[in-house]
Amino acid sequence: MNMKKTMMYLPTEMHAYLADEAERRGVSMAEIAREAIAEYRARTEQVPKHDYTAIIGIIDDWGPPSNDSERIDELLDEYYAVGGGWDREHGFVDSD
Amino acid sequence: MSTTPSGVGGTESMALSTLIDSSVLVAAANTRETHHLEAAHAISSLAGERAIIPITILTETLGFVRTRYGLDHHRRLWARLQATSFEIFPADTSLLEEARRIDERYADIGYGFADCTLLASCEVLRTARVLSFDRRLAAYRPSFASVLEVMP
Repeated sequence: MNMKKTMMYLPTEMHAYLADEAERRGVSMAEIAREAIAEYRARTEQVPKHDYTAIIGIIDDWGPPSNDSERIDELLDEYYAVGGGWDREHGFVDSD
Repeated sequence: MSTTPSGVGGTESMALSTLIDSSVLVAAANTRETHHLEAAHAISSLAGERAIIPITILTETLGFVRTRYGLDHHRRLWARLQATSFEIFPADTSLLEEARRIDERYADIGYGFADCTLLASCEVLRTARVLSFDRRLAAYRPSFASVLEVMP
């Protein structure tokens, strides 16, 4: 395994814990630090902190309650039908 | 918003995966919707999980918002979706072929293009969980699971 030397500062209490734990297990302090980093990496990569709430409530449409979300296909069909919203705004090319 | 590589199975990820339908996106976005709170809660509960929107559903959603609520809301929703962690699942030829097979098998239900591509995405990603207010989707039987869980 390729290793790269690094140096870091730890709070006294954390350093003491690391030294005690290394002595108790009979391994080096560096070995425990490597295990801790590997665990942290696995945990954070498995479950990314996703936030999907940014879309909630951004359509502040005026009017009475609606159930458009249940009728999307139907409302799109109406919009693109002859005489519907698209036809009124843009007009269909006469195919006759 | 990121793109999920086509053909990447959901079972390969440690996080639970859920596919999102237009109905829940619209209801969560629009405060006037009767299902708004239900949809908002469902979307919020996905924190820490993979939430995937097939590109065809994204197109349907943004197209609908433009025709129904206008260009300003269309742009706002588009921008917000870009800023979140929703994954966008692309549609390639094999997905469209799978969608056609689903349309033929369930011809009596008449799912339509967007719903069939949503169900085909379930097959490709091996994801048996969908957020949708379209209860007809529950009639679909995935090849890899006993039922398709349609929530909320």
